[in-house]
Amino acid sequence: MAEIVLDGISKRYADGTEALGRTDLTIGDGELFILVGPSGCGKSTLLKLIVGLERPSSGEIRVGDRMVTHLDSKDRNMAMVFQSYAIYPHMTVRENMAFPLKLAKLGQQEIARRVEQAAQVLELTELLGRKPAALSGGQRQRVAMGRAIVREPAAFLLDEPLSNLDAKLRAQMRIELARLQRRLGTTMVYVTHDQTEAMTLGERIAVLRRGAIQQVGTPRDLYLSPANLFVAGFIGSPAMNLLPAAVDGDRLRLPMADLPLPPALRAALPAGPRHLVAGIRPEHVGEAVPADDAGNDSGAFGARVELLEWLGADLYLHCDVLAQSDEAPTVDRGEGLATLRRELDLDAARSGPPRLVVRVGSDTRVAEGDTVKLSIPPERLLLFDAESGERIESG
Amino acid sequence: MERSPLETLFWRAGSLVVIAYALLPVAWILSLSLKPAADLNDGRFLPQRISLEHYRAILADAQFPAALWNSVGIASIATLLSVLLAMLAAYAIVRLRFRGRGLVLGAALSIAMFPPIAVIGPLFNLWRGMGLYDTWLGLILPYMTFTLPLAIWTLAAFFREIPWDLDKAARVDGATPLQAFVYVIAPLAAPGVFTAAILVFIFAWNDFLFAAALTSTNNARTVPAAIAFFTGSSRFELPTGSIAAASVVVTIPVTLMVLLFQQRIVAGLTAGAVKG
Repeated sequence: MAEIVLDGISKRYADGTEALGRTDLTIGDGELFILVGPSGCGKSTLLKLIVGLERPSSGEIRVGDRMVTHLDSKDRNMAMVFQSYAIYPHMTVRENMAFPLKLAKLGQQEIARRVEQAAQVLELTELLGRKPAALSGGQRQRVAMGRAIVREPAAFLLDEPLSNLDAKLRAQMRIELARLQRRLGTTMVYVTHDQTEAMTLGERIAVLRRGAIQQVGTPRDLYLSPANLFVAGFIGSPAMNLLPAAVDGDRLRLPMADLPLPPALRAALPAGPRHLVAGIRPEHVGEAVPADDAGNDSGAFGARVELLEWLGADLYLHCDVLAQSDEAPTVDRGEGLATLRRELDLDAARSGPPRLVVRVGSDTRVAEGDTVKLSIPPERLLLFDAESGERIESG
Repeated sequence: MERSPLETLFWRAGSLVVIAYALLPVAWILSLSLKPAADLNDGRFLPQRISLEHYRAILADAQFPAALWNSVGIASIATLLSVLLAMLAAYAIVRLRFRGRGLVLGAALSIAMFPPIAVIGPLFNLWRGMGLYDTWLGLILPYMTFTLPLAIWTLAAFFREIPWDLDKAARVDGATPLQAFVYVIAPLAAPGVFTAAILVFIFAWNDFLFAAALTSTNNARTVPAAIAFFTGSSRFELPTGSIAAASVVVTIPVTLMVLLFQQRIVAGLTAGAVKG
């Protein structure tokens, strides 16, 4: 068990593609650390660098006080669980779990003891004599996990371990994994492309995009104060609403409304005209009430409900904003916003009036096609620079 | 889909015709080998009297047991070496991205297509000069040359089917590259190994060309070559019975080997390694 330190590592393949830019990262002892990002973002490469299946092009890797950069993966005492499980099909479950111990030249009794113990923890005792072909997906996943824990390794590295399971089993295994990690207290690095999995599982999460770490933080950090547009759009489901915005004196101009700019935020704004992107979470848009009275004061605006998503506890409204045609076009859509929308497959990628997703109480009575009045509390707004994508932090 | 009775009949009859066509000559040889010398030309398919005199005759002669021993030894060693080398070569070709990968595979294929008769003359002179003429090694080397490409291609196809994650898992589990190969990859490639072994063994066992040209005595002459040198009891008599008996004896090991290894060629041995 030890801290894993990545010091300025990068990975460039022989054909010139850069899989991972210069990266510094410290994963604490006993931590459950998540690497999350869309496919091709370099998260699996990062994991392979840690375990030693790939050599970094630059930088060094330390585990505890030991430098492992040039150590072969067999000497790093790390255990890995592959997305495909990669359990040995010609060996029984028992032989699979005993394999790393045999290679480590442990005694027969010690091997038997450890395998029994791990099998008990993972409820595999009855399956020890079976071959992998006779196991279900979830059981194979547990065997792969068992093969990892028998070694009592310095760290567990998991590469999308649950993505081959169906949704229900995945949720169940996720909880089991988290429980197991706490019980063993071993450092665990977990790679996933699924932000829900990342948010529910991790103590700390690193969000990657195109071979670069965007932000490292707790799920709460990432959700409430994303460092940039990418993290804001990637974390959270449904995704954060992102709208083009412009500053006009002490007012913030959005396609559908003018809002007073909170003083703290205004102070942080760089001078000069800038393209901005405003972000607001679905649950922060003001409660929808049927539009019958005209209290059109504090930035309230009308929107037409295009789609309802009723989830039992929550109701999500997908609304087309009724843009105020004379004011809206003043705000240009940032180039960065368009790419991001394509990349994250955001709903708002289409052209036309901006679309908002709003969370309301599930007992709200609204029908598709209704017009609702919405309002955005200015203090809940996050502002991003449309060009760099960085968040403009107040104070 | 349900087959109509007519279709079933067609397939059964077809299979019977094919089997009869393939096995009739073998049955004829077997029948010949069991006939006493006087009945050899009686033109009957089933022998009137059964006699093992031809078998006794060939085994009593010093030439045939020596040839049998040579055949078994040379074919076994050639198979063993060929498959071993082919395994390593095929694994490297499948797993490593090195320069000239395509060249190695292409060169191997072109060697396999090279007509053996074209190298016999030079080889004869070369072997004489090097002292390899009429030795086991003198036959093992050309057999390996002509069977390695086939073995490499066969095994490469099998290795390609083995998920690469298994190598990586073994490496992370603490195995050296060799251990990963020996404990994980080779057992999974066993069906391929046996397939390659059968092909190499049959080639070496049945070869007549090299054996006839590159051997001269009981030192290294194999059975196919030895049969050609059988002589009758007088110059006016064909050694038909002895040839038939020797042919039967020489067929048995190949048949046994194929039947034995066939059981090991179990499809779907990698089932359960990875999902999907």
